[in-house]
Amino acid sequence: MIGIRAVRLGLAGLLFAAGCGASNEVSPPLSKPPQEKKASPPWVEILDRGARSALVLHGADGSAKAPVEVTSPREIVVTPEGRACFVADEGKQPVPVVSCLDAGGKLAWTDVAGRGAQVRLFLAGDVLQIYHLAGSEDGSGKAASRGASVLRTFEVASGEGRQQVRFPGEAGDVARSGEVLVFAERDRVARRTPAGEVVWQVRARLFPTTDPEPRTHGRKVAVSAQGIVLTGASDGSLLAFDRDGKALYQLGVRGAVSRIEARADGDFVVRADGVATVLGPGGEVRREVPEIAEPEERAGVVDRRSREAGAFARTTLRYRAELQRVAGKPLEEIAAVVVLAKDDVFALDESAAHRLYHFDGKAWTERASTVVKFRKEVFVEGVDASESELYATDLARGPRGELLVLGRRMGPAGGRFGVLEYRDGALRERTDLSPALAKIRVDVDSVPVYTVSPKGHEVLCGAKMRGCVEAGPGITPRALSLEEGQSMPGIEGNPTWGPLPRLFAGETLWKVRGAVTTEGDVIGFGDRGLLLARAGDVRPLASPLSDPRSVWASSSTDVWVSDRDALVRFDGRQWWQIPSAGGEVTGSGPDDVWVHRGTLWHVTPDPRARPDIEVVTGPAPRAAPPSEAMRIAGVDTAYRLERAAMDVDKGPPLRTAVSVVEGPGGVRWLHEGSRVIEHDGAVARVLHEAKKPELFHCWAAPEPDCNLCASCSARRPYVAECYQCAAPSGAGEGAMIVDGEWLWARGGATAPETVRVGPFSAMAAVSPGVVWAVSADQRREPGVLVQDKDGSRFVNGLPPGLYTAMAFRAPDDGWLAGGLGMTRVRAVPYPGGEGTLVRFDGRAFTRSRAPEGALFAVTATGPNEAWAVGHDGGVLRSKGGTTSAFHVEREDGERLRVVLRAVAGGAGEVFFAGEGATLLRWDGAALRRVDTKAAGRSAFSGLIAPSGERPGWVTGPGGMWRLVRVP
Amino acid sequence: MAAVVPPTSAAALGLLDAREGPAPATQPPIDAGTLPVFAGKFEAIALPRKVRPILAVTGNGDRDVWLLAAGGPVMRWDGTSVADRGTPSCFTDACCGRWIDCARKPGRCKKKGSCSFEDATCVEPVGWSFLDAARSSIVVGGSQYTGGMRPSVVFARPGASGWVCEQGTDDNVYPGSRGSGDPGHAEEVTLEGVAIRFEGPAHLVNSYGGYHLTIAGRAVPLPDELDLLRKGFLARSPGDLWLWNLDEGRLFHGDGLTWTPVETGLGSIEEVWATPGFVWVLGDEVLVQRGVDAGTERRYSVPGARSVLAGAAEFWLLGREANITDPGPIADMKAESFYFWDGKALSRAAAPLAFGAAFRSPSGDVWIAGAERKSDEPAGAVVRVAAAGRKP
Repeated sequence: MIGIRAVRLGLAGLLFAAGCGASNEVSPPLSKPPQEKKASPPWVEILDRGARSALVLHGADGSAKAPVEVTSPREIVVTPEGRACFVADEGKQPVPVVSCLDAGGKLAWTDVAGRGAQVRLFLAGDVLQIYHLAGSEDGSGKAASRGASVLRTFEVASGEGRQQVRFPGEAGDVARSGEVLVFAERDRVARRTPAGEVVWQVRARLFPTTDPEPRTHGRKVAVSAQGIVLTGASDGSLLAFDRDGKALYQLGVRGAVSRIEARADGDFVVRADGVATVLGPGGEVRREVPEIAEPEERAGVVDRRSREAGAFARTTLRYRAELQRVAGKPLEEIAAVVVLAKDDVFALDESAAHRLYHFDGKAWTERASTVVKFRKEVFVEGVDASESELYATDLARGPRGELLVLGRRMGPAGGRFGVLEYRDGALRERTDLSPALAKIRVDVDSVPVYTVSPKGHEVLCGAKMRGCVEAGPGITPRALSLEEGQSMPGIEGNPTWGPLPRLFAGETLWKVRGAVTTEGDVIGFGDRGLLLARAGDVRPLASPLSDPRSVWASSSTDVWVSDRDALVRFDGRQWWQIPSAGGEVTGSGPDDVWVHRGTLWHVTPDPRARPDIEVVTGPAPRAAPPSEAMRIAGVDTAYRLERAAMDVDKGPPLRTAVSVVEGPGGVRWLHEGSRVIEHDGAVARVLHEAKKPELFHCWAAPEPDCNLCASCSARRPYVAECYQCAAPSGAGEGAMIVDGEWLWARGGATAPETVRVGPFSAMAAVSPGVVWAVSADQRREPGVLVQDKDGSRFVNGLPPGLYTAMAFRAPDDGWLAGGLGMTRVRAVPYPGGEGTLVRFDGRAFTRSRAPEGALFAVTATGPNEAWAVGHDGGVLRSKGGTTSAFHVEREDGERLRVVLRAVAGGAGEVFFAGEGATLLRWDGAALRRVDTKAAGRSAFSGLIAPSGERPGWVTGPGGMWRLVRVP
Repeated sequence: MAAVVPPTSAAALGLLDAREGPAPATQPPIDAGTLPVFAGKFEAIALPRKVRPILAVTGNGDRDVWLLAAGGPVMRWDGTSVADRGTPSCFTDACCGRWIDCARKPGRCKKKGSCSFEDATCVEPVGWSFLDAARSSIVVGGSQYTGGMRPSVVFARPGASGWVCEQGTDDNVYPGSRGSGDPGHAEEVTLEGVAIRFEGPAHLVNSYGGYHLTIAGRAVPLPDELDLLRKGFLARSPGDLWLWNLDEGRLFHGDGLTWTPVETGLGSIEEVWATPGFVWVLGDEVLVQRGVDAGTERRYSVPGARSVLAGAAEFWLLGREANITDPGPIADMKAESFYFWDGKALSRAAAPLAFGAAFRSPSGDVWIAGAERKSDEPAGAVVRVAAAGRKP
């Protein structure tokens, strides 16, 4: 095994070890080509031609015409006579061009659409209709307004123009089936006559969101052969109409709708977020499958372009990462790690302390300062003698397996690279290299890169390619010319590999921006991502990380790849996400991996790992009927609000709480922000308090006034990525997320969870000692992590979504609520799209739709009974397997479009609370408004229902109030 | 479920929008010419002779008001008259703007002014640009920018025998052993017993870190990813927050959980502040008055208004504040009118001077300073408006 750490040369590329052995065990995940269609009428075949595509026209006689190479062909239509028209891009700054081929497959005529134009093609007999749409593709309004879409018609055979019609509006899509012609704008869908007159039009909104950023609509539209119109938008919202504009149903899918296809059988295929959803004409969901599994059906077109499914990594708990500490404190600002053996690991601390640390297989100890001072002497050619210091920047394994410390030796008038050898507890300069190193003058930001061959041939280069030095058996250390350091016979001719790393000497490759396995495979970084080189064959290796930074491998079935934040492992068949930080990865073997990016993590197999819990995923429900109105029937005189502050034992009073959660035994946790307060009904005490963070600040070091050297402290506290961040499972027991960290409360004291999974958007106690946490990032993780006394395990099968709330009545009677979609601003996930309520009965997850939008809170009010609330005054009630959707109306019949963020109650009485001091009570017969004058217009986000003589609580960022029954 | 009203039509689909027509246009602003004339009086304050335009005014009380004039003279009002307190004379090295104590290091100060970058015997005089009364004593400050990432700041404070120079503590040098840098910039306030902290970015050559808001130790997510743009922040309570983007005129109202965009119709925002019952937005010479309870909005045309001097219930709209680094006239000659909100109505006053700076004393007296309006080489000028209920 040759473990090689990624070179920080900033050079992309891949090298390949000479004489590496062949192996057929590993193959990249490639998609299957689509099944060929039998085409008796004329048809067009699309083939891959590298960056371009080839169109091959097949005549009715079965003959294949000469291929035509084009870029990004789309909107292909084929006439019964064997002519074909399409849109393709031309030029370096792509301009869409409409082209038509004659029946012999030769280009007959073209029409330039204009830069940035959206173009749609339809055939009407022997006439080609070209729609130049006025709107931008994403509906953002960034494109210059054209004011109107334009239809231009041409004879397919001759290209002779016939007609031009203007259609007012900023349409971003158009669809046609028979006489039904429909345009989709940002927030409007209009059916028009061929002359441009409006037949009907409706305004369509997106699902609401609390994300305040401006939204694009990217509205798409399709018309089925039966005249049913389906429009979809960037938030996954779908609306269907009949040919006369009568609304039929609405639905939500996860992610932005990228395309809607109307199939001949009346079904629609909606493509969004890599998933194809096949809808029946009445809004029934026939299936949800990966997009690649649902090929596009387009008459007369067979698309053979390869569609690679993006690699997906599912998180596994079979490995665990442990944060490394020295004397109890986490190692920080670690710049380099070298694994000499499993029990002989060194780490370089790049902080002001500049320390070298050693791991002996059990613990870390401090070994030496890496700032080495030298007496006055000439150490750079052409520079006067001076005192100097060596600042370490990297570590390496030397030719005899010893530790080398690499760095810059700097004096007042200049500097050069330096190599120190760690021996007998001390650092000494490798004076054998000094004369050669003295020939290469470096700057303060130069970084040395070093490697050594198995036979002891050493090379050290500067990252800025100022030169290299080589040494080794039989070689007097010498400076290499730039050309010698850069050339690499036999590889430069392969364009697949892109720019080459430069560090090699003679015939032997020693260092790649990647890793070499024991089998001789090379996994490296090409221009377009990960590449696998095997026996001269180089092919892409689809990675689940979009921007991999480091790779290390012990074998072809043990490949570790990391980016800034994540670590994944390829086992030869599939990728796994490891619960670890990202950064530079290295190791000594398959059970001994190290990752660092500031902090240092040791990744080892977890012998306590348990298998995931498999739960059946229920079918997607059909479109929900419109929600029913739930009208407020006046003021509720049974309750009143009293502003309150809660005295806290050994702490300042609690005046606000963004959430309040009740656990078993009536214990309540109030989440203020930096504090989590436990209230047992009589006494409140601080369960956890985060340290007050220092003010944000920046500095430039070691050079003052040096922008390139600037660093800043972290912005603390972190913004919470969770919506339900506390889960009491008993007095002093449970889990919470504070300042981005998962904490356990046990016996009234808190301690951090060491498994790095998440982030989590909600957590809840299922039973004493058992906590469920739902992940906000389900591209990498199964939906749910279960923590109990035996450790962690995942629950598979939760339908994807952003879940903001959970409630359990029993381990086999739970609810999860949220939204199908989400947006992120910085780290904060905002639920969006259609709301979703998921029931867990111990065996299966069953979904219900919330048509008003994403949900923010859920409470279990009885066996298999729950209430959930969310956007736009939306309320969902599920009981006995039947779910009903409501929206709140004010007394005057106007909809109350507020965000409801909290719900609490029991079988006969349920309270809803939300923004604008909204507090409503459903008593089983009527919905009434609780007088909230005491709260002004504060937002409510936490709610505990009153119980007997015990008052309830309403809390929010603006205060806390008791909810008291009026005598 | 007696109160449940069955859906009347498919229009009950939540994604259908029943609105018709375009969004209502913002109301045109009330013309400044129709505003009543300010009924109060500007009391001219006599200054020493030949004082150049006033750049800054501040104080610790009605009888302890300090003025800084262009060129560096510092003056003090003791309740009866303004007396010249001299001009601080401080010097910095040529390379980096660091203060040099010429009394102790005369060899470093052999030459003064117009130094070459490397000349270690030459020092540059500090140009004074601001006053700060929030320290233990009045401080005159000046920024020395000699290139690089940041300016150095030098202070002068009154001593027993003249002005005492010192290296400023606001010179973007982070106090620590890690080198030079930018300290934290946080506005902190406690409202209703809850601590609110709003941090801005660090400014080296570039802006770093964006903005950060914490309430009771909880980080509140902010809208807008455009961190490099200048933002302003106002908290009326922990659940009543206002955030705006100065350069683009975007205004958000927050309840501590959610930010809601507020349509202002303004292309930029100078300032947002509150008085009882109202939130005010000044931008593009338009003043927007928003009733916080009723959600009403009124707009005023306020030509020349570029800054605000806000009190608890009243405020003045004044011209552009003096900036010593601006080319051209230091005082704002264009602001021909000032505007005054007395808690009930907005009035307009002919500007008695070209605006440069303003200060509200603890008792409510308002000091407006700048320069004479009509002169080729305008001299400094100061007026005072007595607090309500006090005769000038």
